[in-house]
Amino acid sequence: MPFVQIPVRRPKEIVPLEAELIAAQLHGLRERGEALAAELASIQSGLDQNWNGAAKRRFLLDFAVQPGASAADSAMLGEKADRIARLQVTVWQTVLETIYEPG
Amino acid sequence: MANIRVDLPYLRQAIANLRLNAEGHRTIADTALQITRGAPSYDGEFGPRVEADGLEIHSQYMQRHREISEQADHVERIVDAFEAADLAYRDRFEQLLVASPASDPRPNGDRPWWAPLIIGMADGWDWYDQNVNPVVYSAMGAIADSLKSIGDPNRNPRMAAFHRMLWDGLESWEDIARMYALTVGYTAQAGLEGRWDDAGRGFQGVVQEELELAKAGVQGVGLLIWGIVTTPFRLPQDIGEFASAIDERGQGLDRGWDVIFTGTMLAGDVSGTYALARPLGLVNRVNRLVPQKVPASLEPGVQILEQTGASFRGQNVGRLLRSGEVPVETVEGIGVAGGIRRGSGILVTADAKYPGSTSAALFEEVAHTLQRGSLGLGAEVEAKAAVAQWVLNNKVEVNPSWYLSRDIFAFQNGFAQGGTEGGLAAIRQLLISENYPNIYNVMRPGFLYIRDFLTDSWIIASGIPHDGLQDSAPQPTTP
Repeated sequence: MPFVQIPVRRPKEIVPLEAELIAAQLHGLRERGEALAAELASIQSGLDQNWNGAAKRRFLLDFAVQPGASAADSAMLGEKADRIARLQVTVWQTVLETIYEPG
Repeated sequence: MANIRVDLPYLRQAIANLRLNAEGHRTIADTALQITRGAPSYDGEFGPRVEADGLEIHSQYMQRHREISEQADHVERIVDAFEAADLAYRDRFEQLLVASPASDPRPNGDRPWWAPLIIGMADGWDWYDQNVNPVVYSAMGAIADSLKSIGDPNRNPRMAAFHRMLWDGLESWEDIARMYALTVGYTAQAGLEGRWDDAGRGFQGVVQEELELAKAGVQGVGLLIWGIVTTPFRLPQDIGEFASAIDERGQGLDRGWDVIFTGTMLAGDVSGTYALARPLGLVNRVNRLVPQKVPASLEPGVQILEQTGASFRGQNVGRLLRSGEVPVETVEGIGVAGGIRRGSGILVTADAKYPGSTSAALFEEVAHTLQRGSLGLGAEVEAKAAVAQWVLNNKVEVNPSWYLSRDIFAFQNGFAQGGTEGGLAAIRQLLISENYPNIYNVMRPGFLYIRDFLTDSWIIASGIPHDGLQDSAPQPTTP
């Protein structure tokens, strides 16, 4: 009988089960972050409409970056989550391989 | 025409919203850490990478949290300042209704008794608007801008706090002053056009705002503007002085202006009182102190400078000082014999003439001799900065005299900014505020001490004795 089966260890690329869970949780945070960024934009707009003068002008000059910066933070968070969701690791599996074994 | 509107309850609500928002960012930062911490390692291929991402998210969101919190604090300080002005206004309101000329009864259609004042005010307003307002706002902008670079709360909490107080105080004052100026302009225009009812209301507003400003502390400015209303004949003299004091700063000609930027004094005078009146007083006071030429009492110091070969732009410092050719704002650029210059600062090297000493410490001695009045102040600041640099570089434990310790603290505060112009301004502010008000007849020669740990004593490392060497470290001096 020239063919036999022997166990062989083979590497396999997989996405860990935990990746999906972590990514989902981070996406949840991203959504909260987006809401905060929108809220900042709303605060900025409200201040702009309800406050006039030099103090306001100077304050908003500095503050105006915050809504965008916060939105960028959220985008970064989302990218991290996506990256984690795609993270692959190497696991080793034992498989049976059939090989020819001359009599 | 500028429109100034401050809805304090709305701003309070906005502050609360900002704080909530900042907390939201912090929550995300913390939650991200919790989520990513403890992820399985998979031979280092998964866990560490996830945790690194978590740390990055945490850091970014904490940064956002800090910035938004800081900006909420900023608005709160502005609101507090406005509320203080409001309270001052309300305190006087009832009295004003009775006392102001606009409440006087008068026949319909007649020119009121105060019409000549309004007309005088119109003349004054035109002049004021064209000549004073631009320099006032420009000067305030210059003050704020020059300090804007030193407000890093992480590296420099003390200077940052000072900077915020100043900046917010200036902003508030500027808004109030603009409101006042607008009211004056409105009243003057109404008077010119014979709209006496409008002018009366404006006049009353002027009186109210004047008292509001005066109560808030801007007495100098307020009184000058009050002069427009009551005695137009004083305009050329009073407002002229006011304008020229500020204009000097605008043109870089105000030789005593540096002294305005003193930590304690400025914090109290400016932010606590909506800005300008007392600093203006300081300017005048300091300008009177600035000698045009070196007085005889400073001669010993000048001689020492000559002996050490100090030079400025290639010329002998002593001669320049004697002739008054070195304006006070450039004294800080005087070279140090044996030292190495870098930009406007000084790096220190040992001076062979004084073993164990530094030329900067020597220079400090000279500066102390020169320190009476503003002429030597810049030199002293630079010299102390240099001493502090040397002490820091050599990790020397310094004597417990709070003068020198404070100098080093000042140096750390200022030059932590990398030797920038803002950093130098920070040094100047702190040194002057710590030393200058009490320095006269109190400051001993500024020896540099090194701790001798073997004998648990202090060794004088450098210095020129004014009245004999001291064999032990001085105790903190109480002014």
